[in-house]
Amino acid sequence: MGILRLEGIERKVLRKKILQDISIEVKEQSFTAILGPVGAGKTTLFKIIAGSIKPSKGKIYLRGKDITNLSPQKRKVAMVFQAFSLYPNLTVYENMASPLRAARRGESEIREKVETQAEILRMGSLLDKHPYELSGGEGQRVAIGRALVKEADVYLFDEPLTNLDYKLRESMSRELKDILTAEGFEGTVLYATPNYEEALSMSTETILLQEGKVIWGGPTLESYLMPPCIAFAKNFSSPPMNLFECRLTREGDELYLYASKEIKLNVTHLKGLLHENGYILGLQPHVLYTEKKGPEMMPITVNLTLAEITPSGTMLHLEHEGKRATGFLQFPQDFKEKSLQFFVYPQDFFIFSKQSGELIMNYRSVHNGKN
Amino acid sequence: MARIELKNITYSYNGETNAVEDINLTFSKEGRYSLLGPSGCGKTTLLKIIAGLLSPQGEVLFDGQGMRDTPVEDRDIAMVFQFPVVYPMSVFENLMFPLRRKKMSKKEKKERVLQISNILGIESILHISANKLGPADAQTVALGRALIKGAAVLLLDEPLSSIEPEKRTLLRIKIKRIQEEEKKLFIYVTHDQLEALTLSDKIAVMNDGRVLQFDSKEKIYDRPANLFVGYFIGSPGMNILDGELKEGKLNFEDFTLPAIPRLQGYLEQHKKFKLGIRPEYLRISKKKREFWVLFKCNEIEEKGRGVRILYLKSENNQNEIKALGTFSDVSTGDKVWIQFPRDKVRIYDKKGQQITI
Repeated sequence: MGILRLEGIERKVLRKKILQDISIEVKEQSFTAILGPVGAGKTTLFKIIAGSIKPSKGKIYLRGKDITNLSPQKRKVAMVFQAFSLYPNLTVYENMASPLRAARRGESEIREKVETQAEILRMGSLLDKHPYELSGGEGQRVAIGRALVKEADVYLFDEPLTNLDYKLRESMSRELKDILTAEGFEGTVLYATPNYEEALSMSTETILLQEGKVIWGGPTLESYLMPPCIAFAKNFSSPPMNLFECRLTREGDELYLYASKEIKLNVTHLKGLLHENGYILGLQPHVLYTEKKGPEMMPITVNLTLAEITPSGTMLHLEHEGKRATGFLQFPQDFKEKSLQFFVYPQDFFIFSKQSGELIMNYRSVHNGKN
Repeated sequence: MARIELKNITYSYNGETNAVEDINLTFSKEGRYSLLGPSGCGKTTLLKIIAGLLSPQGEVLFDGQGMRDTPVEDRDIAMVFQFPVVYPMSVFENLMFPLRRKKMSKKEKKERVLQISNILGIESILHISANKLGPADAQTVALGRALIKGAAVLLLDEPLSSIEPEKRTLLRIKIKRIQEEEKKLFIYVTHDQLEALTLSDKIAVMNDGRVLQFDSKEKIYDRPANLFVGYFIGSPGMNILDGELKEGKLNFEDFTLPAIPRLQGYLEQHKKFKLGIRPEYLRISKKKREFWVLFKCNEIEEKGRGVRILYLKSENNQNEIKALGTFSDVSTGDKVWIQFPRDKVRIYDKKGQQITI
């Protein structure tokens, strides 16, 4: 059983549902990313778990105990905010000590815990400073330290890196992951982010939240490699996965998924699995190749709208038969022509149901199984 | 048209520490430039100096003319800020606003508005009140308003950093499109290397109020002039290893690399150096090869787009490096052999400056 369980959580503000029917279970000591765009309801969800706002409906259980009506101070939940929210009039030491003071801990225990935590976060030299003397990165470090000194069962991180420089974000995400997965750290982490790369590099589980609803929840790495549904595929890749509408057609004894003259997959071997008329084929932008590497590769003719070239890669904005598509090459390349041909492996296609948006299969998985 | 020169620019907000110090840069007309660096490096200060919002020591020249006594409104510039500034009126009226005192017929003004909205793809929202727009659309309107008068210089101060990540790509494409359609000088301030690399041809990398390197984006990437530039550009940044010349070889405690003849003279004299190599330039083999170095893969991180970061440690754990690539056959715990390609290795002195002989 999970350490934290939400059951049918709903939050309404002026008849608008900010969250609806949120039922999730979080495993003890897991690192769960709550992935969602701005306005998905991530912060509201966290405030409900922390107890600073009440759900309109539903229950929250922590270690099996109903805490829905428990005050925030009595919950073993700590939170780090996107905007740090430090007390401006208090030193770093006092900021970090504040949750322990609220819990009426003794002075010597407070000192020991704050100093230990400061050392782990490599900010011992900041303890006597005030928030206005800190850089953005240092401020967020203090906010993280303040959450971690509180002995909580669940730690909520609400976009802790969003307000930082990208380079700082890179090193802090690595550091944070190391601290939160180190032996000796026994808390359970929920981490809200709009950025799939953060979810991918840090979390073990991912919950996709959109417009106040849970779209998907599951293990991060598996879901990345095998996107469970279209909504997940769109959000868990940048640029988003290419999607081509297609229909099931028959030519003699052969069965095809037909999106265009060139994007046409022989799916005779999948006959038993395809019962609908309409499907969506998904193709990751990074699996378009500039040369034909094998006989099974299919050509795709595209018009190039724009190439964004950097020394580490090229982002291609394309059009295939009037539909927008994107490609990503892992190296810089300039193109003189507007009409281009790329090549793809049939096994790189994902087949989604048009009706439900769910993944039916990856072309490869069943194909290989057959051989 | 405008060509902008900055000569010996120094500026201090408090009279004690310099926000920017001794900056010398030339931006040629119709060029695309970025000022790139971490927060607090002085890049926005420099942009404000160009705009005329701050008066520095030193000289700002537009087409060779000193700008000391030319106020903001008389400089041929337009600006876009980090947080979108729109007026509480329709998008159309927002775009018309800068033209109100222009000697143009109503028809011409309208045509210009339609032309700009076409480039930016906002024809369908012209009638909507601008303060009802989300940040990405509001910023697009702010961009349009900056463009409408046709100023010779467009200054952009982190225009994408307050926009939702999923909309940034779209807006980046719009800026790219403007760069192709409207001939002018673009100076783009950002802390995001991807934006700098996609939206400019030449980049000034800044840190602590100074310009560390001003070069084409290819050079900045491939030949960082110092270790900060190497670390700051690229994700992850350049690997940096401490080395010493011993018995004619480059020695890194638990492994060695062959000497570099070109630098032998310098290294004989100074002995100690730092080696920089980009994670994507390392080559990996699961079989032993001559001159390739044994490392152990401690951790693998998926980076998205089909690439992974390998965290590698040398035989006696004395060196740590990262490698970036697809590496589909490597698993955690594997022994791998690494090649440091000779043409991709850069050597720096102990202060972090590239040794170029």
